[in-house]
Amino acid sequence: MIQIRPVNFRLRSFGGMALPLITLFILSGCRTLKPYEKEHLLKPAMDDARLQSLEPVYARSTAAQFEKLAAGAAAGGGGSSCPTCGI
Amino acid sequence: MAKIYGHRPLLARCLAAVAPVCAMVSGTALAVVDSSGSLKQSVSGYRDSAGQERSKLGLDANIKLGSSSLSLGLTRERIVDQAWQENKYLKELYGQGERINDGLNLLAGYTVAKLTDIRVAASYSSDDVVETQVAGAGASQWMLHETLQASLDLTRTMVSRPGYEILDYDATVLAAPPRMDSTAVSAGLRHLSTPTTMTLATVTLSSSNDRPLARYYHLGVRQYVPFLSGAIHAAAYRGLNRGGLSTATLYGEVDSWTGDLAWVQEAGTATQIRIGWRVYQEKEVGRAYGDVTQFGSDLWSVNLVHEISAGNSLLAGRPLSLETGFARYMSNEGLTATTANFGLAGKF
Repeated sequence: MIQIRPVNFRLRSFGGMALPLITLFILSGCRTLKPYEKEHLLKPAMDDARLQSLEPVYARSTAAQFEKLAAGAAAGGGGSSCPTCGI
Repeated sequence: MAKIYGHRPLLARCLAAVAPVCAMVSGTALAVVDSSGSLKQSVSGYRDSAGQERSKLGLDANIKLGSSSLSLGLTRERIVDQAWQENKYLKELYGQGERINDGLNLLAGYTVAKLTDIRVAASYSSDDVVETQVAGAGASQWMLHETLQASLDLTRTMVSRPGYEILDYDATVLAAPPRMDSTAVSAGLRHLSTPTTMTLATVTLSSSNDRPLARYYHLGVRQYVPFLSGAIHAAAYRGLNRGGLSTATLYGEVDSWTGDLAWVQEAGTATQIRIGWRVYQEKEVGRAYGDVTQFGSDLWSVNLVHEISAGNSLLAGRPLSLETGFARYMSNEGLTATTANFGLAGKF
């Protein structure tokens, strides 16, 4: 008799999402975007430099005095979604 | 400089060292054809129901020289605590309800062949009692025909403060070390999933001399909606700081969830408005008897950026940018806080 091990769907830690996340990246990574397809990704609402000006940075940094793990993860990278556009 | 910051010799030394470098870079920037820069002045205010008031003045200068960039930020923040006499920490460390915190930030970046970014950062802040120094370096690389960007960052933080002790529930004396050192490594991915979707993921590990290893996970999605000329931004953060606790820490094992949801609306190419909501939940298990404490908070915010056309003769042909924002913070402990900010940036 085949014994099926029950799957624990409770996300005891965020680490449980690592596998689907990697799979998503691999699957969607198979398709690459052409520069002309990035028109919307270069709009101000998606642009890092503009979003930095729109972030409630002061509110978060001062509120962080009440939260022990508020710092979170600082996302590196950034910049334009099409660094070689305009050559 | 030393006269102004006579009571802060290290900051004065930093500023004295940085000023000639900035002057030199600015002078060079003006002489080079492919150069641009911006200067931004900002003011922010904060007030909460616990009687704390903050006001902050900031000055930021950015210079871009071909493939290199340099940013310098100076801040001065005044913090006033009305109820400082009921707060043992403030009473012992500051002995008064008012303090001034000065800060200096430096960020230098270099781009190689448009696809590789290298960055170094340093910051220093002090209020004469607590001193914080941060140094960091990082790099990011676009790959898969500029569809995936990978980044790696290393950050070192050193905080110096007077020794401080509290008595835990089991009568054990907990003493925070006078110097806290932490090192964090952060790896991130940015993926352009579709012509309108961007996916972001980051994992950060942080090791500290007074706490167990902390792990942070971040997953975010930005979806542009063309017919509305706006984008929805959603992100989830998970923080885990569990493990054996020594008597060098003042609080227990902690884990947290953070959700961030925002809509960014474009009104033409000159104006953008962001309406955001952030929810934070934290569970702390005490060191002494394993008592569980739950903390939760909400943050609502509205921010606006507007660019004034360079053609306006009042601006001498220079583009100008206005930034303003308002936020409201509420916690399950009955605390409410309000912040507002205003900034003016000029490009040259």
